[in-house]
Amino acid sequence: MTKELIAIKEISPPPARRRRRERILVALTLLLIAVVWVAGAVRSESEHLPCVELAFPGAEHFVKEEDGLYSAWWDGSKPGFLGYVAIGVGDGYGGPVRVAVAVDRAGETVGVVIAGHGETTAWMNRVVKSDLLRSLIGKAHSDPFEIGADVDGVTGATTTSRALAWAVRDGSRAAALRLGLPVNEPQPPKIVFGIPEIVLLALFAVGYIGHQGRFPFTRQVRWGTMLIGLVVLGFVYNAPVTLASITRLTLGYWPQWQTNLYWYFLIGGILLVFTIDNKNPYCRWFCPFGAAQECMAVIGGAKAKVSRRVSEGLKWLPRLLALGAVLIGVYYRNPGLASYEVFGTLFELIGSNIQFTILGLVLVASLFVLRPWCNYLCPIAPVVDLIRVIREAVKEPWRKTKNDPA
Amino acid sequence: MFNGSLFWFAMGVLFVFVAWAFKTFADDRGWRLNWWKGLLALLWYAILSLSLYAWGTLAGEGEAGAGFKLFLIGLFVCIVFGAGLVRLLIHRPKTQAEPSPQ
Repeated sequence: MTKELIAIKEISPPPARRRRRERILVALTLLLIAVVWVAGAVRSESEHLPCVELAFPGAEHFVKEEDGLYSAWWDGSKPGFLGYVAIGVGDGYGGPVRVAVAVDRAGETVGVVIAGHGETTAWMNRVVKSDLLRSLIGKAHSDPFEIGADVDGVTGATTTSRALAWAVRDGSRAAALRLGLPVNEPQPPKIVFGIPEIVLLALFAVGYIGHQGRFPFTRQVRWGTMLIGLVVLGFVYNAPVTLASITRLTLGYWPQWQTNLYWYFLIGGILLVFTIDNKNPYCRWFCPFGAAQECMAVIGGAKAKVSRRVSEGLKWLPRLLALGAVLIGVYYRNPGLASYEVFGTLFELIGSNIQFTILGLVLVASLFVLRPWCNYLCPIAPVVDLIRVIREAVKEPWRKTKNDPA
Repeated sequence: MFNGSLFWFAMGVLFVFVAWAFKTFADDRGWRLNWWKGLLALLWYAILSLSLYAWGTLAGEGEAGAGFKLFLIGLFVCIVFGAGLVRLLIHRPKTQAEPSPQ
């Protein structure tokens, strides 16, 4: 009897002890991220000069005029002045996109070199391989630099395309100002509120209501929201939650709200519902990749059960993967650098060789095991776990005060 | 049609079937698999497939000879490691002798 009790204790520690252990682990994780954040901040204080030199064709000498602005010369003598190179900044998917923009004395853009970005590599490669950067050469600072108007964006990488175009506009205007050319104040960006935002808000509302115990037709409605999520948030707009969108928060990269309402609704909605309800409506109700796996599970009849012990062990795999990805993203100031999610690989057919392998593996495994990605690889679940532990730690003192006012 | 992405996707699909087949084979043979034995089997498969991928990649870069040598080294490691792995998998720990029916 005693032996049995001890064995049970070892497998499942008492809630108080488990809670304490969880909190210590969360505190250590946050401390580790903070240390890496500081280390990354020291590392990122680098010069842009190599990119500046590449940006201006023919220039041999550069003088730093101010932060992010360099004058370009033939050989350093006054008559050999060619123009300026300015570092322009645009708001990308993974944080600021920096571009070295060379502007000649007439105010025309003559060279463009990407000086730094936090975009997912596969997406940036797609943009770099396109004609977008070449199409920005020859533009004047007074041009609108708007995707769909005077700039052709890259399908499937609109945010990155827009970030690059706006970074070039920013740089060319900074250089034009220095040249003494008339520069109009940039128009505030238009508020982007369309189908994905409306669908997302509706899905959140249904997900929140559906989580309530008394809600009838839960199964049918959940399938409805999942299929809408799969089609609209997945295949049409490819806009699921990614680890990069959370990592960028830790880096303090808050995107422009006018053009990123969807992002604010998505992250804010999950945090809000989770704080109020302690339930995550996104993963279970309308995550497009979760829906894809459940569709495969219906086809294959997914019944294979993973033993509890193996399942407990595998729980640490996504935690370690997510922590590693966050630390790399924070250190290199590039949220998308270590992204290993395969959402874009399925919905846009963009990804590395490893991502395509994981996608094949996950989709086929979904035929036999229920939601293998969500249970054993997805980095969002550990983030939700972390928020849950913090939430409980914050709530507990309040609960104690309420129960014991003396 | 059969571009790089599709090839790697197929490798992922193949991996699931290999793992499934291995589990079924082990069950049929009565091998007692645990997590570390499964991990060793996975490592064996990874060495074998990586050797093949390395050969293919180097051949694509015009270094077929070097790729083939690398593949042979990987194959040698696989044979030695595989022999040890099979012995480990078929090994049954000694248990107390069961009482005779009489």
